[in-house]
Amino acid sequence: METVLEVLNPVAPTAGQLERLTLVPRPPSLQGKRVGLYWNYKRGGDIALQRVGQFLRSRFAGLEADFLPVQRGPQRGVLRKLLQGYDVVVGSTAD
Amino acid sequence: MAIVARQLEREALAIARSLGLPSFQYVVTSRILTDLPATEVEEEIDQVLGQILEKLTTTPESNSSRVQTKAGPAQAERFSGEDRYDCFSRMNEAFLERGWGDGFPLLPPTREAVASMLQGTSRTLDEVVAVMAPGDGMASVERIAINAVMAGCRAEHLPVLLAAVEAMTTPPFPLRTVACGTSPHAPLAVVNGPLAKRVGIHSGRCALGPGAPSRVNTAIGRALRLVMMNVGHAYPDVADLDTIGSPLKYGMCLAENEEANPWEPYHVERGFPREASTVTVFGIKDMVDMNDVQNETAEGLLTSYSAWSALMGGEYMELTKDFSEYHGIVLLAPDSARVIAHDGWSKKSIREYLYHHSRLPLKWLLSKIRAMGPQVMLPQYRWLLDAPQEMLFPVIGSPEWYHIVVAGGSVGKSQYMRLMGPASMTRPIEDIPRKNERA
Repeated sequence: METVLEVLNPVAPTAGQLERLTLVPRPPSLQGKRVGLYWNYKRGGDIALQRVGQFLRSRFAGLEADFLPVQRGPQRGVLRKLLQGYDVVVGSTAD
Repeated sequence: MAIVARQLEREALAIARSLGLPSFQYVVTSRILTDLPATEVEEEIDQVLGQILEKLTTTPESNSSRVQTKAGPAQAERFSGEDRYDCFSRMNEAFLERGWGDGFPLLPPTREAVASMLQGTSRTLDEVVAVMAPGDGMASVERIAINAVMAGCRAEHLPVLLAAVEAMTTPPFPLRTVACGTSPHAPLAVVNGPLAKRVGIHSGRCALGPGAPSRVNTAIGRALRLVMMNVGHAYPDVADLDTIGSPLKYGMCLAENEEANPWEPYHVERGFPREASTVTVFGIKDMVDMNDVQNETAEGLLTSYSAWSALMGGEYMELTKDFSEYHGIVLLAPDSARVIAHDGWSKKSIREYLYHHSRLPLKWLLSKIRAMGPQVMLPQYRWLLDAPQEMLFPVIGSPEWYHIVVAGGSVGKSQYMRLMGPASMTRPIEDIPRKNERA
């Protein structure tokens, strides 16, 4: 006779499964825009972002690109406040 | 948008989805940038500049939506077999294959077992204790209880686990780094107060295992790891990016040996009354045996301990704009504690001695920071780069960053563990009188 074992699922739903977020609209052009270059102090990420900033400045008149080194593991509120005022942000964690 | 190495693309997508970003925008480099020389980093980036520009100026379709309003109860699953053992084997095979376990056999979380586990708390099963990094998992009492059953805990252990989850999900504990880092971080739960003995958490010989004396320690430590995985979604090779791994990650839990502690217990130092029961979680990086059974004076012992503390070295990230504190914990064997206290030393004087005597040459300590470049250092510390590099420097940032817990058996072999960041907040444990509690 077949035996059955019923067990409960140990995996918790994630906040992302409860709510999906909309992407912020991208500007059609970066002319005159502010770009944040977010770095978490991992080696290599700073070089990558500086290169991106250099490229974007050379392509778009009036573009401001700010290098943003941020302590690893920032609170969401801190991050939100830091990134306010930037039209777009490029992040690199390098690994 | 983000720059992601191809080797870590899967992990990045998993984290993004768990945070509610299925449309996560990124570009992929062919190599991990961390270990590349600057010119090669630039070469990698040059390959993707066009894609970066496109991602920054094109809005893909995405819709916000609320999929569920609450975490909801756990779903059930059935495993059929020739007999109970066959069912158990099939369940284990499925769970382990899905990555829901630590590699050891799991006890089946049946409805009855979970209901029995929930008798250990007065909290309701749908109460969300925390939202747990890295996956922002909804840590409900029920989900924690299910993982506690799988680990081999009993109902009276559940409050310890609930308090430990609260502790490690509260800043300043660096849970995301402990869970996801490329180093072998592992949580250590230290329990204080009368509940420890009452529920069987061992504080003496082999407190960190293995074996019968520490079986409760093993179950609770294991449960904490399973919760990190199944609730926090810190799955190895998905969000847990540990390079090599460590046996410490299977689980660590012990009680402070308060009877053998000649000073005030750890939780009293943290502001709790002696009669309270508490748990503190430490994010351990590594450990070393401090083997000195020869010295019979406080200064002799602490000179030896300073050498081991120095041997383990320091991270020095508090000198950088990252400003991460890297603490240490001394698990002080009872005999050593007795010798040190007999000579009139307090915990404060132990910390001061260790801080001043655990030193290494600057050139060793700054090697990593020097490779990152002077711009990462806080301005007030940049002079160190030009100071005599043979100068001895403390390996830890402050005497207060040494934590002292008395634990273990009667032979005086203590241990030193480096931490990934500061210790967690110490949290009280719900203490419910239960019938037939076994030690």
